[in-house]
Amino acid sequence: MVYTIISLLIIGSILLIDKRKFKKYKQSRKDIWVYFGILGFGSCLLLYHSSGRTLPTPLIWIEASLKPIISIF
Amino acid sequence: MLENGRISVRQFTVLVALYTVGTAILIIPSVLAAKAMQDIWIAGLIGLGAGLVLVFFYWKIAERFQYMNLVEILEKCFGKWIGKAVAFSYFVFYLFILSTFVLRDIGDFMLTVMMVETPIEAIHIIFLAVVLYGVKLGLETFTRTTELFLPWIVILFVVLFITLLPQIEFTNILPVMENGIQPVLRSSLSFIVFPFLELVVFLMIIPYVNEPKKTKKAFLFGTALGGGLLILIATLSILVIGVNETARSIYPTYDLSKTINIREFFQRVEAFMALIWFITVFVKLVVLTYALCLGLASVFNVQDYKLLTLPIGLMLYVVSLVIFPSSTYLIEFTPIYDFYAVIWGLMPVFIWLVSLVRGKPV
Repeated sequence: MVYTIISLLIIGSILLIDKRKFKKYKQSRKDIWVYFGILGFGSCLLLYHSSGRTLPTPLIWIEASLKPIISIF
Repeated sequence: MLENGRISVRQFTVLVALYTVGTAILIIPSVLAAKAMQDIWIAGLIGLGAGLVLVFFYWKIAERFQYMNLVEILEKCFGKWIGKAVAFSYFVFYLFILSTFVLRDIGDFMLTVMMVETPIEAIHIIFLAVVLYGVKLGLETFTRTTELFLPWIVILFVVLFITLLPQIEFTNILPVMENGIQPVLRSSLSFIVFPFLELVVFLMIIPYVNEPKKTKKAFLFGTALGGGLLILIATLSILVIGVNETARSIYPTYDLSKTINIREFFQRVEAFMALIWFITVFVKLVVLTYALCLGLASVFNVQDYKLLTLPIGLMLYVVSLVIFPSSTYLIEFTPIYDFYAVIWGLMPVFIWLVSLVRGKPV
């Protein structure tokens, strides 16, 4: 619970720091979409992790795809 | 242009040298000693030679494409959409993963040897905050900071070297080539992968040097300086603490500085020595994060890369916490990572071949 609150605070502080930039990029909606796309994905991962569930490491997929090739050598 | 700042050739050299030293300074002695044993210095020299060839090749690519950045090179080479897709994969699957490794390295180091009761999240947040602030301030600012750090690194390294001189045992590097050349070559391959293949990231920075044509010497000299420093520290580890201790330890350089003891007065200075590592890791992470932000901004045509700094920082923070479940997993994963890094690090060879087939690039 505490970790989730800290995570929300982190996300909130990021939005607060970048608040001025949103006004600057008001005309360029694409930039804002990219920004919120990355931030949204990151926030989902952070909240999922903070709820105590284990996120899978991306290395598992790398290992799964490369291990058969390496075993040939 | 996404970046308006310009750095000098000298600043570029310093950046390359400190980036090369990066995380390797603390880990490379054990990586090399695990296979090459007492022949660590031979493996290092072979690796450095190959690394210099690789760096020369990276520079030739930059020259061939009129000093464009990597995203522009890929777009020029493969066409707009395929180029963007390759660049996106490159930044997400290589640079992003590499950045999380570097961040996790500093977290693990602090947690293992210095601040054992501090949560790793706190270490990551504090370190990342400084790095992101550096990236937000821009290339010129963090490069000037790097220049300010350089004398401190030199002083600390000279102190480390001089204070360890009385403990050097030259018999530790004998016999030479006891197990033949094969383990030495295998060990030098690890040295090429980490850190020389990672220098491909400088293809994102070369366009912002004020005289890009003069970057060849700077790139090679910076790499030689950083690589030479790594070989020196690895050899020093073998000479002072021996082969077995170096190969077994996770952080042999830290253990090395623990042995400093002059007349029971000048001792316990390992935390000062860890300062070298904090600085070089900062430089490495700031360069990687900068390249990541700049690259993704280039891929998505975002006007200002600084807008993406904090969201990318958030992603780095989360993924660095889960990137490897334990250090045992990391040790098992190392050979796979070597292969993975070779695929991405040698991508410029593929670019070169495609550009040859397609004719004159610009």
